[in-house]
Amino acid sequence: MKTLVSTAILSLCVMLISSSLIEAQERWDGPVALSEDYLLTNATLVPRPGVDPQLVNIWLKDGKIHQVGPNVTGAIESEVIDLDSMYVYSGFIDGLSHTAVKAPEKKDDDKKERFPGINTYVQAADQVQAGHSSIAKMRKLGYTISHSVPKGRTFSGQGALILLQDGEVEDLLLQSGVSQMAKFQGAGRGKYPNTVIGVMAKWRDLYRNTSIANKHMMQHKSNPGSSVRPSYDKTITGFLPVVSQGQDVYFETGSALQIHRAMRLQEELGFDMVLAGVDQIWMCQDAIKDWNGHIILTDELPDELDEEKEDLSEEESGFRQKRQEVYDLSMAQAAMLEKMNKAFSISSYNTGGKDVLPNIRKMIAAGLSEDAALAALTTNPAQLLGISQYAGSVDQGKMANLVVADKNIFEEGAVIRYVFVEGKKYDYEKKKVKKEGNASSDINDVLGTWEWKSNAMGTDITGGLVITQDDGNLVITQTNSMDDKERTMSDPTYENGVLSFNFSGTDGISFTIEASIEGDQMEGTLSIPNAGDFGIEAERVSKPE
Amino acid sequence: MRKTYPIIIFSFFCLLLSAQKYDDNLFISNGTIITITDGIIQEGDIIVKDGKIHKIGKNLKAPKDVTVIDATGKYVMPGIIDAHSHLGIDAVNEATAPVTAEVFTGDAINPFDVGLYRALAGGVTTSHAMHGSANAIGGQCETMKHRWGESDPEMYKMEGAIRTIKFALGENPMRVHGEGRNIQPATRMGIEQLFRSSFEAALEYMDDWAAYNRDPSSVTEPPAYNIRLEALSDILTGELMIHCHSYRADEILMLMNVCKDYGIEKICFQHVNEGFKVAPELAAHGAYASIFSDWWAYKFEVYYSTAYNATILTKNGVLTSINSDSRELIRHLYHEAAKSQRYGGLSDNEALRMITINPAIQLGIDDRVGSLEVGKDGDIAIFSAHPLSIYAIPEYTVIEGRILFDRENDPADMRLLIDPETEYGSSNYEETDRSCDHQCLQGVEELGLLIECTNHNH
Repeated sequence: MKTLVSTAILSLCVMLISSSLIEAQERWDGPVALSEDYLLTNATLVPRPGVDPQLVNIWLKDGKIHQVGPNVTGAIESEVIDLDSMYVYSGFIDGLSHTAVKAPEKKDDDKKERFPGINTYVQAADQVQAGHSSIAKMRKLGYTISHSVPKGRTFSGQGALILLQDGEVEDLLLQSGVSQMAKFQGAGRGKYPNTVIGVMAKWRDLYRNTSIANKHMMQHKSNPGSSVRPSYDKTITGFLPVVSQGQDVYFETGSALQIHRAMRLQEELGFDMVLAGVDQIWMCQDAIKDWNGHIILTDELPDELDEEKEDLSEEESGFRQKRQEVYDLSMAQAAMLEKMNKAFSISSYNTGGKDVLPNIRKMIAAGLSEDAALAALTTNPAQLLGISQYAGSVDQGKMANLVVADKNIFEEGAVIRYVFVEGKKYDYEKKKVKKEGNASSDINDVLGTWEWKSNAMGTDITGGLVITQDDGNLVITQTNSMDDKERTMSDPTYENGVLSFNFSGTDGISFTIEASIEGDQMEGTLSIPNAGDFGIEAERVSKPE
Repeated sequence: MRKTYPIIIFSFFCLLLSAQKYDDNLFISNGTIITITDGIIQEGDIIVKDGKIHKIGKNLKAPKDVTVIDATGKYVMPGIIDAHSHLGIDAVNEATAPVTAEVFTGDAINPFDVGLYRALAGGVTTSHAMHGSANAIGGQCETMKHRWGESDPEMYKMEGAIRTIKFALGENPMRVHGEGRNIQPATRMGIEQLFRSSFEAALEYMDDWAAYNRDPSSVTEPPAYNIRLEALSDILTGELMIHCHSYRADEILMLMNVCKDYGIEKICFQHVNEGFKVAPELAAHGAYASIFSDWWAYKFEVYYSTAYNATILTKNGVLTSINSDSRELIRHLYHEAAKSQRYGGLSDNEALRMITINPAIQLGIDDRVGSLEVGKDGDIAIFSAHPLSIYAIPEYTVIEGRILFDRENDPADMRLLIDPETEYGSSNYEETDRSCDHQCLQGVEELGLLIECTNHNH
């Protein structure tokens, strides 16, 4: 069965790839003859936090978890994937991110906005882009559902729930108007409010004006004859759900002081609030203890401290000791919240996702339980977002969102092998790119002309890479055998023996290449949104003089 | 009045809450006690009970199990009060508009500013955290007690203190808005008219709301709530007291006239370098003055000044305080007070009043602090010698009976919070940029309105 389906996929891929790789997206949106009926056998399942792992089969059908149990056999058409004791978890839910959201291009009109930075009316749902590179990126990290908010400043607008799958915008959007995103950041460009004192005043002004407007609207609705029609104001209308419907305000509070300030506003005005990107909990433990609300802990941790030195001055050694204490407290924040019995989530908001799992492993080393870690990625954000009835745990009838790792996902070195989003499979059987040890970051290692080959989506593609440097910055141009066009790659970096760069196709899809360098050999992955990761190899044919 | 009831309830609430936040017990024995309001007690003792001064006198019996400070040979005075400071706040200027009456430094309290501890180490227990002088009408200010070690900003707020608001005359608002943004005020006339038009708008706003509250059905739509006009209205109703950044005598007279026209009674002038020229007028108006001892000539409008200002104002009956407006000066305000003896020969008590009870009166907190009296807060500074002596060293600073500075127990690094990614000796290792101490215009450079950063720019 597996071979048959694989052959089908392969021939489909060959068809798709036959013209241009970059246009692949356009052709991927028709009815896809893939089976979406999977039987995952020999899975070590952790269905929800607090439950011991169990060896079961899981049958996914019609986008849902159809059956779970040791003796589930699936149907004749089910594609069987033997997980061979791999660990299965509920797909992660990202409590706060900008995934899939792309802000519209700035127009000159923006500068004339009456209240710059006060964008209560902006909807992330209107900015969601199908095929945005962040969707595949976040999915690869285990996320299946994301609460995405618009980018912005003081009030950046309303969030949406997004299913991290391929397809049209309509396939991705679960819910709009989920939240209002707020920060203590001023409006920028020298416009009011520019400081925290301006932001706090603006909050009070907007909230009270919206309350008055709301009252007027209700009165007018019940007795239109006795009052004038309320005038329309888009800022107030955008803020109305917060004032009248209990829409959650996600307040970015990355420091103890911001936490106190947000709580102060909440106390004065009385809105529902989620503290987001939270840091420095140890500096405001009492306030956190007494507060009833959901916390999204920062996924960022401080850089590791440098090694101990000897013969330091008293001042420097005192400073180092103090710094070590703060470092340790930063690491232990999640454990601190667990101890306080606080429901909290860990989202991708601060690091963009890449450090979430490695950092959670550090938090576990600092005392966080694995159960609380899993809850922070699944059940807690599900509850926060009001989607527990269909997401957050692996139960019969829930959405078939799963993460499959080759071992306990919180163990060092665990690699995600599959992610299922509403029953669709995304495969990550890739080679490990990262090299062990202290590899070089010297860009001279990669300069030269390379020839590469890849069998992306079942077809062999070859091409050339010319890597030069301009004032210490990498410049990479690429050609491929499909259209022979020369393209300049964006964001090239070479760190710790790993070269990475992106390039955008004509339709805005971003391809990513990540490869390790060893002498004149390069080996890594080519990531294509909506398609997956594919091996890529290259060999250097000439070095610069 | 629309807001009468809430205000009465609120004031009552404040009264209840005006109890201090610490309730420590302390016994100070055998010191020279400078009470400020009731003479000097040689070899006297003080009992602080539950944070309040319980007894002052000779040969008091130490309560059981209480912390004791042996003040033999030392001088005990009330905690010093600075009526003009920008310490411990994360934002000083909301310089985006010439009138920003709605912003409030109490929203920006930063208890991790180590400057607050350094102020304690200079005997200063209370400071008036003011908005800056970028705007003609700046923001509301917070009176803070330096409860160092607390991380909750609310712990720094001094309940019961009157609400104050910063105004600014002269070059600063003209430069930031007139020169910098080409809007009013570009001149001193413009500043006066900005005050008047702001008050007119507030009167209209109050009328609109009064009409609406009398009979909501008579108005087709509720008036828009405007937090800026709310604050300006509070000035007119006497709930917000003006503390005005000022230098020139003509402008000081101008603001007094504006206040008269709008029935505003209480006002405190800050800096007021030319106050000596209009001291009788200030006294007749009942205006207060909060000044530098001998700091001037840092810009054109502040060339005509004198170190005799404190004495002239005091002798003319103007209630005067000496302030710092500086992270550094705040650490030795007792030196600043002493200068009024060198220039003008004020008495010890007159000089010390200017950093204790006088600023307390100006901030409306003289019922709780500013002198050593039974029933007042146990806010106390203890010096090795007479505080007006150049040899005096602050040894203990106490707030509500709790010792918050003890020279014997004063580790080198008192910071409460550091960034774990800071490198030793790096540019952000020191929490402040010492080359840029001017605070009145803090936050304005970020707007690109001022380029130069000089040391004296109040």
